Amino acid sequence: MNDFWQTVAEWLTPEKLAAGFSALLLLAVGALVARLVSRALWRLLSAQLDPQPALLVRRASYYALLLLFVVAALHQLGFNLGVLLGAAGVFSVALGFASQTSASNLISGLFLIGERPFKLGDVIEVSGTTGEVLSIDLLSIKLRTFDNRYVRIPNETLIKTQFTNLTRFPIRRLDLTLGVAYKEDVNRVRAMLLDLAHKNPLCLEEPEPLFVFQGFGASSQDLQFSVWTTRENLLKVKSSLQAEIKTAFDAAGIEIPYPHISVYTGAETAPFPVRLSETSAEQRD
Amino acid sequence: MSSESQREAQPGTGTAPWWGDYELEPGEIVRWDLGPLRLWAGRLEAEWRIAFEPAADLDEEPETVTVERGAEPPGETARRERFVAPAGATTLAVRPLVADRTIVARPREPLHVPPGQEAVIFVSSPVWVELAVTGEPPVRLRDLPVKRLTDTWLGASTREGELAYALKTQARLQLAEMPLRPYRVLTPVAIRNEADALLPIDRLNLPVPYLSVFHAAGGALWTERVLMVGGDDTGMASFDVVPGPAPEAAGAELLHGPRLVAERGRLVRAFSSLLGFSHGSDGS
Repeated sequence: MNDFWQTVAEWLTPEKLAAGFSALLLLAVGALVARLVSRALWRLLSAQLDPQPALLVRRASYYALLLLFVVAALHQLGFNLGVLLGAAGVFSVALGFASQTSASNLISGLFLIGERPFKLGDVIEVSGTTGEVLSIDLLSIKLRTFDNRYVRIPNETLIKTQFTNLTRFPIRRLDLTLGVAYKEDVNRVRAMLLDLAHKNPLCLEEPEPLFVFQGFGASSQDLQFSVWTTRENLLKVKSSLQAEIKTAFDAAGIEIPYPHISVYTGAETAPFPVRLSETSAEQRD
Repeated sequence: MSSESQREAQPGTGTAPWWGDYELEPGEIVRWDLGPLRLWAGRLEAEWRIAFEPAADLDEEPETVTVERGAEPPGETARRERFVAPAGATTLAVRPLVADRTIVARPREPLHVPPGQEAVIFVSSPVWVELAVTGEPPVRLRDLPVKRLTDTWLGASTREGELAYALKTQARLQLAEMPLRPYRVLTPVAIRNEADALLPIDRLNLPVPYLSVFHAAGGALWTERVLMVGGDDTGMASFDVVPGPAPEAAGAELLHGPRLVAERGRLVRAFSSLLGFSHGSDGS
């Protein structure tokens, strides 16, 4: 115990104390300088860059400057930095193995920020989850779904899988598939659909609505009708146009058939005879 | 404003205008029938009320314009809005103004301008109605279109461009053929073809937010004249707005300034591709 105090007393020479004090001063000044410089850099860059990269530059510059000052402080205290760096190398290999996933996410995050397939506020769809991008961080991105849930998606997933940015372009095409009975005149249906799209003010006149005869279905003539609208109005148009189509078809007597099956007993036989009986409900019971 | 309780402006007769300053007593309601729009405005002690609805059948656009003071309140179907009255505001200022987006006017039948020729096409587009209450300062309540035009996309691709209104136009060349509809504003578009080939006019992109509304004698509303020059074979056009009321409406008075004021060069650049382009519609 005495040895310990003796060592401490030997170590606490005025020179060592001065070195310790200057190391502390270096750290304090470093923290301040790093803070000021990174904030200034961020202000300068945020005018030209998106918020996300600007924030990244701010953080990176802060930690880099702070590291410089920490190294200087350690040097001031008399540490041999060569040894320290060697130890850091070994340590980082070990850490690398231990944190493979995080490292992969980190690198994916850097790629994502570089590639910029979406920005804050965009709505993206990733493996069945659709939501607005709240933040793009180094390890993950955070989404707010439209039923107000908070979803964290690792960056690695985004790099590996397909995702869709729903708000990249200002207008969207809404594809409606519908079937009409075989007895209906397709040209008449086409004219009606185009007229409905024309009358709906939210359906864009140009690019023009698209009508495609998709084929002869099991129970109906299958049609595709596509209209363009702005992305904000997509849901409104989807709802209003389909309701308008139903109303207009009902008014014009155009049948939207249920799946149905015609049963024949073969070419040689006569069709099934069907007889309507007057049986009342009581008799059936 | 005149004190008569009802004024009527039949198309072609050109009588009293529907715009102007209306001083209202508390509880008084004014009703405007402006072609396809029905509009009510009423003043209460502490608030202003506005209601509007489209006239019943829009397939056949009604063309009458009437202003009725002391009207009945609107029915249940009208859309209503309330505004807290600024202190001392007793007068409602009603003014026509241009639409808030570019209008893409498509002639019903394709029109061609031969090389070296200049044509003046009259395009009539629905006005918007601006309602403001006078006071210090005047408070703008809202503006609304006489007729909601269909949206359309104005841009070289589906990736970038701007939202505009689509308008079908007869693209008449004779002013005398134009019916007088005081709820629509006339824009004469002079098109000069300086190319060596016929210039087909599929569509005219009218940057109406940059235009003013003038009131000519007889009740018609006019904007400035727009000059477009169809250049070489690329279909590029130069564009210019001739300041002051259109020459066809000499002596017209300014009713409302433009919504947007742009630097000249910028406007020309923004509308450098004015005549005829086609969107490729993607297949399924």
